[in-house]
Amino acid sequence: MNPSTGEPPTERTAGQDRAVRDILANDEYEPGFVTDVEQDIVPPGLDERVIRLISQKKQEPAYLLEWRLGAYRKWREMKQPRWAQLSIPPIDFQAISYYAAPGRGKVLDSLDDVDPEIRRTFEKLGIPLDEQKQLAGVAVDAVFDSVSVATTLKAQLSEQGIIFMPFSEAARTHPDLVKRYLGTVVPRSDNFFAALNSAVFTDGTFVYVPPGVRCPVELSTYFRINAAQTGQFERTLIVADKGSYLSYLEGCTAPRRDENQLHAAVVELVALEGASIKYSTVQNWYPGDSRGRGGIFNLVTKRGLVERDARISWTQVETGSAVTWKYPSCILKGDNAVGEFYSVAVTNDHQQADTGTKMIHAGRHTRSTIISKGISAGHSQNSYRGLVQVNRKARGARNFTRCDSLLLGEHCGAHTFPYINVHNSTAQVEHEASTTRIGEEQLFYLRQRGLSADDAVGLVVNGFAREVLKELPMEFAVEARKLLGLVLEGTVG
Amino acid sequence: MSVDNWKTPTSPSVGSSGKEPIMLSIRNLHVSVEGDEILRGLNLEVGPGQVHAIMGPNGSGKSTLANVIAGHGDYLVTGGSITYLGRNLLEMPVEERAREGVFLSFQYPVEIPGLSTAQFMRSALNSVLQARGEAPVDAFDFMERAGRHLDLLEMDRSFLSRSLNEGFSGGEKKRNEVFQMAMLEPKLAVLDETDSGLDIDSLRIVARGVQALRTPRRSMIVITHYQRLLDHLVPDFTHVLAHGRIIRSGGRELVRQVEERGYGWLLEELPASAPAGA
Amino acid sequence: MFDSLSRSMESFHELLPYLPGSTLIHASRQRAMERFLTRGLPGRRDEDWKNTPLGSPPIHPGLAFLAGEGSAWREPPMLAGAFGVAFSGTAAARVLAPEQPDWLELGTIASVLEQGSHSHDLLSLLLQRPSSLEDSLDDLNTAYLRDGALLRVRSGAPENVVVHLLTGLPPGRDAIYGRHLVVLEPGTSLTLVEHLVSVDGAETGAFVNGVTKLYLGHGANLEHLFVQEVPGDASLVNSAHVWQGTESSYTLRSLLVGGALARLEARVQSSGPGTITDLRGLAMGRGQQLHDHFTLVEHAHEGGKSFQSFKSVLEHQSRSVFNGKVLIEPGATGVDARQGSRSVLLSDMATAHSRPQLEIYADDVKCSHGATVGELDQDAMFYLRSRGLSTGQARALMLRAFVADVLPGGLLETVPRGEDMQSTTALFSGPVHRWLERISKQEDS
Repeated sequence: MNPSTGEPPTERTAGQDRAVRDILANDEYEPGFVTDVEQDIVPPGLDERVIRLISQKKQEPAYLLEWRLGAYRKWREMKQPRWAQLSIPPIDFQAISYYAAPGRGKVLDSLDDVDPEIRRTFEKLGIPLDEQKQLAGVAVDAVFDSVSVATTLKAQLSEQGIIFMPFSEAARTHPDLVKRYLGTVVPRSDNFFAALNSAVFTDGTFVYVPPGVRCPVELSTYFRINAAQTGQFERTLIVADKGSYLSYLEGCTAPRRDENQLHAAVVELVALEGASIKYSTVQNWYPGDSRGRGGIFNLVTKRGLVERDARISWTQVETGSAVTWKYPSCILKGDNAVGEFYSVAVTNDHQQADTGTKMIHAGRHTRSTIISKGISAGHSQNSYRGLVQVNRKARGARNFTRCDSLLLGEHCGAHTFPYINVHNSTAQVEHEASTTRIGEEQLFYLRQRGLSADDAVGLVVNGFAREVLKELPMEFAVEARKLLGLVLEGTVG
Repeated sequence: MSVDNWKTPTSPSVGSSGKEPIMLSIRNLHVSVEGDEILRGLNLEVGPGQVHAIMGPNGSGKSTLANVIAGHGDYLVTGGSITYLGRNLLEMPVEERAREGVFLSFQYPVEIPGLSTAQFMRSALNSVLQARGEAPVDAFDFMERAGRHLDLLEMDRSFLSRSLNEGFSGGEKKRNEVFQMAMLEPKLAVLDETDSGLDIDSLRIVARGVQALRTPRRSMIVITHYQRLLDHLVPDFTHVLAHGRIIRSGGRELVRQVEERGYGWLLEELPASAPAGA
Repeated sequence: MFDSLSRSMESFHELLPYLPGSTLIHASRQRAMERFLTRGLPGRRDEDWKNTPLGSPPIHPGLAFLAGEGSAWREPPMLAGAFGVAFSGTAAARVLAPEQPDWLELGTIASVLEQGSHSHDLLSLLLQRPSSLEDSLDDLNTAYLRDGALLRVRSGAPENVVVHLLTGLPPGRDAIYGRHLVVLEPGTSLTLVEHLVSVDGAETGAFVNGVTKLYLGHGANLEHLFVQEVPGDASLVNSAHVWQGTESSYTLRSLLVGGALARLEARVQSSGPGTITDLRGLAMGRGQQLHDHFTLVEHAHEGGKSFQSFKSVLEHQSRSVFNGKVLIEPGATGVDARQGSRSVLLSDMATAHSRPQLEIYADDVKCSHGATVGELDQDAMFYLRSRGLSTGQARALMLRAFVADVLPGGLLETVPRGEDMQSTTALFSGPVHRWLERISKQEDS
């Protein structure tokens, strides 16, 4: 995630100077630079005209516009939820711009068409959209503000029938698939933010893996919010057809800004009979400064539908955002379906995280595993909130949950709110949780062996989170490990 | 025996002769823990390559001395000084002491779930190497170095992939301490009751491991209750610590005297108000 | 809605003159009623009541309750050697102790209310609300409070004092409000047995709102035993509000057997460091019963220890709810809090809800919680049956082991009979044994 700082001076632009200044001004959040590109921004505000405009810019089929408008009407009747453990200032939904696209909104055909500024942005983030990455076997879709700017490896994937493209493109080129699955896992009126997303989403990623195909590469999307006063409302829909497999990575960053920005995404996963989806997230949105100003409100709905013998595994490393509210969930609908949730959430300064999962056991012999590791430092509040529900007919369901919290410092909070509802006697549901302070003795021991206080904290935290980190694909694991150390620098000692 | 004879002729004052730099010089050290004064004017000098045994009854301040040398924050130095290779040790943070060659073998090694011994040891080794201006080791180098020392301590390679000290037996923990000492190659090693809680085989292995690490340049302070470790690791000097001071110093023969007669006779000889060890 | 509220206020004003207390107390009642009416009864929208649908029971008490002049009832035997206070839904509270020693004050709440300003300190203790309280049942209880037991243990009391508080519920669907006040002066100890039964063993559909305020002085030691075995389809909500002084120790053992819907709340707040809190409970559900244990342990001071263990065993379509929260305030360092809930479902139609929660704002703490829900271990069942036991016997044996550690003094070997029944251990063992006997006679369910 380290931005490259060794660029030749001849290519410097005003934007880069600003970027360098930003990096110098606040190296706590490394990806905190602003990319200076021409933006095509719809003025702030939300009404039916804006939605029609978005749909028109995306050249969407009529059904999609109708679907959006339906969601918008539902949303207008809904109230923004209040949460016990989060304090969020009221969000003015009319002050947000719902569409920001780089350039003139043209459709990009190849990587060469991508604005060089944007390409450099992604390079700074360590996401080169070039051959190198392709050789590494990762196909990348990059979403810049609201628009997908480049999808690599498309041709190779399409040989196997795998569809991996920006959502807006899929809506045009694969209308049947999109129409068939969109909103089936997260209905458009599911909750306040999902309804908002359904009305105004501008882009995202669509993936379809045909029956029996094992996707040979990691599919990856990087999301970046760049423009000021914009919200990002991407929508991801992934369908793994019968007996197929795919691993999908999602990374997120945003520049430093004083005001709060809204990220309200929806991710829907469909694992058909015998299919397997592994969905990994490293979320490093801008968390605000050390006094709690600015930062992203990350209010996301993620849910997967797991059919017979299928499996969905969510892994997340949450280090960024001023507020995180997300519960990647699994509806274990078919018999023998498997759901997994592995999470590391780190909060520092004034960050607030309220995250967890829902495992709904509907089919027989369904199994779920939840491993959550919360690390709080500074003045932050870190909550695990999770639901395990075993329905009446789900004979032989199994769940194991383990939630551990680690506290660094005296002013932070760690909270655990599990909800366990069991309606079937043959279920076995186990929940364990613990909260501990980072051990002074552990730190002393490590420092006695020559490690700095920061490195010592990093090692203890990595050890604490190891069960989760090992679930990440290799190259993400390294990045996540670095990130954990970075976020907690200077918290102890 | 009179107060004047407390220091034997073989008293460790090698460093003061001028030729050899003093490894460690502790002068009139006073230390409190949570308001209680534990060390009350302790003096000790350790020259290069010397092995000093420190014995003493429970609560005499032995572990306090070890922790103060390593820089544990719970121990408040209220007076005196510690000089290490000419530098003020008390001003150095814990990790700097370690990087400069001070190693403490913990009486109760800490367990860190989830952190593998290999990951920990490689990070520690590389910080120490870096401080010495040497190149860090890669995974292959590390395994090779580690392998040699593990063999010496009769430890299986699987040690490295286990969580640090978690679920280790007493013997395994102590062997792990000596393994770390071997890896980090300290100049001054403080062994705090490294022999306690060991069965006879583990003791033999640990003692042999420590003995193998004895070099003409490396100094050691061996804190122990028992003679049995010192049978394997023969000290150059022996000190008896009581009431926060060294009340008797001698050669290796003192070890046997203490083992045979206990500490009572030494304590009885101690004048109530004498500035012991001063 | 407004109509029914204004009608409620009207009913309240009609009933007010019948209630004991001065104008000052009636003013408190009036304010409490106003607060209650703005919130209403707790319902599904209240997170703490989500799985416990109280519905809309009759909240206004009948004249029989208000007059409190009903005839004495045949009280079940007191525990051996215990002082007692008996209170029924239709009769005034009655002290069942021939003479009171200096170190024990036993009285009735009605007399505290009547004395008005003369018992100002007691009144403020009686009306104090825990800071965590959000729902309105305490207000409703204040509005209609008529009687209950006053109990104060003074220094110099011996160690094995037992006080038996019997509450008898009349048949019918009356609303019954009771409140007890228990004060332990510094260094004293007490075993308090709160025992809910029905008058003459008849079935009852009463709505009970009972509150017990417990104050533990420095180093005091209270063992609080709560047993509820009320036949019929009553709705019973009882709350223990506990303030624990420095280094005091509070132990709760609860057994919920009866009623259609029964909930026991324990809200424990530390008012000094070094408190020890040990809460355990067992719910045994059958038919359509719902049993709810709700706890909130608030550590506001250093070095507190708390332990919680709640279990339920569920037959038929019964349900159990466990809502347990440990709250650790900033600065409450060195706290060690453990919490666990376990449920065994004996039927496919039974349901267990569990919410063990930790809310922690201090860093040097040790907290853990665990929850399990499931059926009895099938390997163990097989092992026992391979030794010749029937399914029912095997199940009963395993359940014995499951429930024993949440009962005071464990589970007696056999069904208590005769004089043995008058011990606190027997009070708990009796219903459990009767229930286990029934289980052991069942074959596959």
